[in-house]
Amino acid sequence: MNIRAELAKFLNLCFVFSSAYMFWQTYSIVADTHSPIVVVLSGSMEPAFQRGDILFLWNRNKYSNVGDIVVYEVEDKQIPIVHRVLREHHSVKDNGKQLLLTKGDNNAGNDIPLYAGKKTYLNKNKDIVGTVKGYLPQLGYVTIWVAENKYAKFALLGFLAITSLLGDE
Amino acid sequence: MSKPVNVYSISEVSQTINESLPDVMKRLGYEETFELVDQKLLIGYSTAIVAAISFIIDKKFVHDNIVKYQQILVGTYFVLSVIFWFFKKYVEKTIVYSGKNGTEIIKLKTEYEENKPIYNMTLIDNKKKTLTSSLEINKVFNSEGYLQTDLLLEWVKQQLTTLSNKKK
Amino acid sequence: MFSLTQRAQYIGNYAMTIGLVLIALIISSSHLDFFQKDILRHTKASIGQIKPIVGFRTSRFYGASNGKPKENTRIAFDLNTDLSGLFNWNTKQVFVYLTAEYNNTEKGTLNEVTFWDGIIKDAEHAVIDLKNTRSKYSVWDYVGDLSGKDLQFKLHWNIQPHIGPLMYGVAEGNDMIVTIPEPEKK
Repeated sequence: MNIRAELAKFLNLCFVFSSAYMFWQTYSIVADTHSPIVVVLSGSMEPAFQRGDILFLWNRNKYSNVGDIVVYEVEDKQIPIVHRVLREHHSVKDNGKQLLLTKGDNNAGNDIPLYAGKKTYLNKNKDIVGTVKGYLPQLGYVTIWVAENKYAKFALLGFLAITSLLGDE
Repeated sequence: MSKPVNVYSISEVSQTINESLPDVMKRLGYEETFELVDQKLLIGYSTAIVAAISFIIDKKFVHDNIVKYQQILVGTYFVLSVIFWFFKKYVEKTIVYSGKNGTEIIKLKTEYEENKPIYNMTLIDNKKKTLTSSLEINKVFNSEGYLQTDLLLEWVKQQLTTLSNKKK
Repeated sequence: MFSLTQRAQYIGNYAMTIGLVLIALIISSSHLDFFQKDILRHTKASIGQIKPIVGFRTSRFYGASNGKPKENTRIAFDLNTDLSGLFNWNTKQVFVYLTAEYNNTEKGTLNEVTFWDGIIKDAEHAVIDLKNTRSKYSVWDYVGDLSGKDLQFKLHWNIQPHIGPLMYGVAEGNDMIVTIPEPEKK
């Protein structure tokens, strides 16, 4: 009989984690991108975006416009780069292929030095993760702190453990 | 039962009484039945497992390859969550205890109002007779916050007798 | 009385609710403000005196491949506009950019390129009055040349809010269409 009570309590805990994760997964599917929420890691888009800002992406657009702020990854290097589209070229045939040139607002030159190989353009379908539609300032700094500070992970886990233990009382 | 409870918090008081009901009912000759609880746990854990599967395949495979599967999983999760919510609201409906004594079935529902030191219980038996009564908590809790289970048992016994004597 | 964790939980939930309500208020009031001023549709800009300068570059960073000279175009231009209407309490900065659209009928492409952009940090600096300014970027067409093409120039703006969704727009103005001349053969 006590097992059922414990199972019920554990179920509540599972719901907390599963609903947070499923929200992210649902957003990912609806926005059609594997990474719909991104934290700004560099200062190349200042003063618009600072390190630690959270960006919300959307990827169901057929073409990108000049001036859109897009997120791309260089050949699956998994580090998202957030820059602005400087130029776009697409075929009159409207077949969905589009080439983009990007540049960070705070950089002197465009992103050609960043592109893989000798490429001078990005491919909208292959390289772009999503377009930035909205943002929350600074809330993502926690993830940067956890990634860059050795002790942050333990401090955060310790904090979570203590609050959950106290909460049960 | 041996833990002092904050008597000003009606939600804590209510929870303590609810937790002691299985023992009280056992002493009155009832055996607890778990159909409702088991069904709820089944639906709930299925939902959690769907989420876990989604999490695992997201880690193991490239996102673009498994979009179709994730769509199915997200849809299933949503449907199961709705079923779970429906179950909690309409099927379980604040029942905190169900038990049987031979062929007699008894179900107990409890409610409380914010800031009122009154515990309300509705008793339902298998002939669909119901009895709703209120219990002032200071009758079963002493001033230090300990639940006097014997007094609670007496009160419940009274309610059960009244219920079986009811004509309708 | 109620335990410390109960109170902390209650305060935490309350704070988060208030935070969300505040954010919704900021975003909706800012949008209402723009809607009332009707600024999103009717911002005017006048672009004039566009003088293209066409030359050749051989570096990969200017579109050349294998050292073959690539035709590059710069422009000098005048620009006159007042974007102070785009600033309210939720505007962090306005990014303004001058683009040109053109058709490359030989190669079958539609294109848009940026010649100049700038960042406006507040309403005091929102009046742009540029005379004979050189473009920031040297522009080349990916598959062909810009010379001989008609370029339609437009001024775009992008409002970056303190919180919430990004907003984009195009300024109304004269239709500036300029034909890029052939480069001087050396």
